[in-house]
Amino acid sequence: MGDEMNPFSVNPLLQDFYRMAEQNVRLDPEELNAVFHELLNVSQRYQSPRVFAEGGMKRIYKVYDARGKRFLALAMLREDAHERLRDPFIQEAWLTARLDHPNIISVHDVGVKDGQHPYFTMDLKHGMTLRDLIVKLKSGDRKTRDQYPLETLLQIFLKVCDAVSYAHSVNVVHLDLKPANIQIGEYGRVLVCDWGLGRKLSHKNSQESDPMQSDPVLMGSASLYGEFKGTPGYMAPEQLEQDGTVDERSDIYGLGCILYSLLTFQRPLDGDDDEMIRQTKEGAIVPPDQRAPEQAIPSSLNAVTMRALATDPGMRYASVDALRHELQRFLTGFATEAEHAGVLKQLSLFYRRNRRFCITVLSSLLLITVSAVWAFRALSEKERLASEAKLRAERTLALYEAGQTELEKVNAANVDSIVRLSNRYLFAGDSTRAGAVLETALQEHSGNDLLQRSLGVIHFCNQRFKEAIPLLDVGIYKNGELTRLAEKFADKNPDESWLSVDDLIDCLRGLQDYKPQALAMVLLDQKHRPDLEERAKVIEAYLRTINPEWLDGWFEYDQKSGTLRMGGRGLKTLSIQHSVLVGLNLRDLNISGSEVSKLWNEGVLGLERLDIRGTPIKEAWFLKQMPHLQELIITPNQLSMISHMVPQWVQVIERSYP
Amino acid sequence: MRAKDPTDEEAWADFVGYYERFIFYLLHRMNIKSDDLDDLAQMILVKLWKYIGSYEKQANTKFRTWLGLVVRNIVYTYYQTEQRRKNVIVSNVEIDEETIAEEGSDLEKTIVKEWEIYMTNFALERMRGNFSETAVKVFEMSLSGTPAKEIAASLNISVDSVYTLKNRAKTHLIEEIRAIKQKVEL
Repeated sequence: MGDEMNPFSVNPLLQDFYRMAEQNVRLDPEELNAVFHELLNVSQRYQSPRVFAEGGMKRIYKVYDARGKRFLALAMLREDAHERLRDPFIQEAWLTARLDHPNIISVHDVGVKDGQHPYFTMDLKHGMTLRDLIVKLKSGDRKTRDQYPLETLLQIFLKVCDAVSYAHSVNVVHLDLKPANIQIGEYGRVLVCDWGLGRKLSHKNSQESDPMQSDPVLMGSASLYGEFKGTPGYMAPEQLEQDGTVDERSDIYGLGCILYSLLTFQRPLDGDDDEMIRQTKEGAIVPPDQRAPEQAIPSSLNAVTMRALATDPGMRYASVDALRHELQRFLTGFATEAEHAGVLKQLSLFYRRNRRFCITVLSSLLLITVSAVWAFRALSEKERLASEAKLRAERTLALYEAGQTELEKVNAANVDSIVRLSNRYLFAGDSTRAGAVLETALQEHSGNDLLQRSLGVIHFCNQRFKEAIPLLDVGIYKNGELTRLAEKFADKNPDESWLSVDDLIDCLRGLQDYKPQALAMVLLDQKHRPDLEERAKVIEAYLRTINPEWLDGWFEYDQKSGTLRMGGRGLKTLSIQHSVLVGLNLRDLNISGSEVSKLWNEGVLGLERLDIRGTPIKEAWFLKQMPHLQELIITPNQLSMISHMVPQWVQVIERSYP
Repeated sequence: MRAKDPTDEEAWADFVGYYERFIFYLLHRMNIKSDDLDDLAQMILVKLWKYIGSYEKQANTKFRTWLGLVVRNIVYTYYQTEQRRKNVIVSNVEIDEETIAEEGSDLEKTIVKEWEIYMTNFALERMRGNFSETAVKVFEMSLSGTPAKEIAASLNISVDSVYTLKNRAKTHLIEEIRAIKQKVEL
């Protein structure tokens, strides 16, 4: 008989154990409940310590917690620390242990080793500090900058605000808020650490049944014995006064410093300690937009930062929530209070929020204008030529002025920063100003390769290929891919008109390695392509260019209902820097079944309905940028912490997918 | 024990669950040809169910001895009947009239032995589900005589761990066999 018929393959060697089971041998309980006995026998809970950080009077070890079977961070006073530091050290541990918030580091165990060395254990920090991140951002690391655009940095900052706001709600102040004390990790983890200077405020709301209130030990005396009372350059002015009263507003100042660093990638103040202390007291802080003009810091954020950094505590935000609210307003496109927004600003924000309505009104106006122009065609040829010449002259003057003023700001000698400035305009869709800046600079640096090349790229993106070729084909760029493409398509539009849809799509395919240029090209093209169906085709081609693995899948656009459904394997990115979907007047975006994981730039679309089922999107922060969104369709449990993230105006519909 | 109450449907399901696989296994070991396997197994199950009420535990009669006896008788009767009907080619079957004629015969011993092997293997299989996979592997390898050093090397663990895991698995196996015996053997 073959073994394959055997319904149950057996090991005859096991038979002996039947006898053993039959004999009434007592089995060793340590073998039966091995795990229980293992835990019972742990005599040394924290094992194999390894120093991994040192700060102030503390030393932090990475230890293995044999009871919890995990690695933890263990903090201990240094051997040379004075005995009187023990109490403050333990108070820090207790204070932190009482703070229970996802963005505040957790203390797991507080104890004394060998009867004399107090210690406490806490989460082992992964990732890097916010300070490390800022240093990387400052160094201009491309990858880091792509990974942490302004929106992402602000989201991190909001989490810090959450943590501090919670601490204030239980009357605890941190007093040493700075980027080095913020830990950031994967999956959006943000932790506020090092509450060593933190203290319990004794005032107000004491009728609340707050367990921390009744504990005099927690009032905090850390700074009495501590070596440092804070970090110069991040400390609020009142912390520097002999008998200055510190309160929640001192933390607002600290938050202001962090925000400042996030915007400028620099510390608010520089110099030696004495110098910084003097500047802090005088309030001599250079506003972020002047400190780092190349960052194009939004004026609203500039104003928010400066208000948080006011020398007089009374002039700062009264609470963290007020500060948080301002940033929220910025992220959702409302004018912030600190901005003292004028009519024009309000209007532009009104436009951002009510794009569809505005577009309707504006297109009606445009229609009227076009009719008027039609009527004026009756004007004589002579008059037309004259007015055209005048227009051209005016345009040239405007270009020149645009170039002049901007150039003054960026210090005309620096070609790199000129190109960067020009790119900023180009990717904001303003090729005229981008070109003007370069043209003006070329007058001073005539024949500069980089400037010429950049101007050539602008012509290329504007589909003026003939003009572009001589500028593109210079220096190290000779015979490059862009030149080749320009030559190919120069024949397709000899009169420098706009390419047909098919030709443009063909051209975009050639731009796989030139994604920013492809973006600029699409943005500029959309302005001159009124037909929405044609726009959609161009956009699809662009998305396929930036998603080279998106080989099949679907892209279905319905102009009437403003619906776009797209997805499939390999569709990972909807936008780089700017969303090209803006031109499609979308109400309803369905990306279910795509691999899109981020929607940071899609806030401008004014969506009313969004379907993200089957995508890897788990966080819902982007929703706050979508003030018009009414319905969000997800699969059950797709979003983590849903109630916290989803704004009240959004109705979440859970549906299975597919 | 519920298995003794033949009116209980659930008890029947349990009973079939415990013994059916063993009976198939046993018949297979006895080289019963596959055409007869289903019929015979069904017959044995029904008869066991019927007789089980009459089994009384006595000091000197073990359940598996009783089980061996019952199965032997059924198989023997079946083949006698079939032979009378000329339906069976005797040479195909390794059942010798002489060996099954008396109690304590080789066939009966075989059944008892197979039950023990079946049970212990069944216990090990159940253990696999809720015990460390490595421990079970260590145990099986050491059972087939692999030296501890070799086991340690092939599983990438220390020799000390091999001994610890082996003992741990052994203790659990014995515990498991006891638990099954208590449930299945009357």
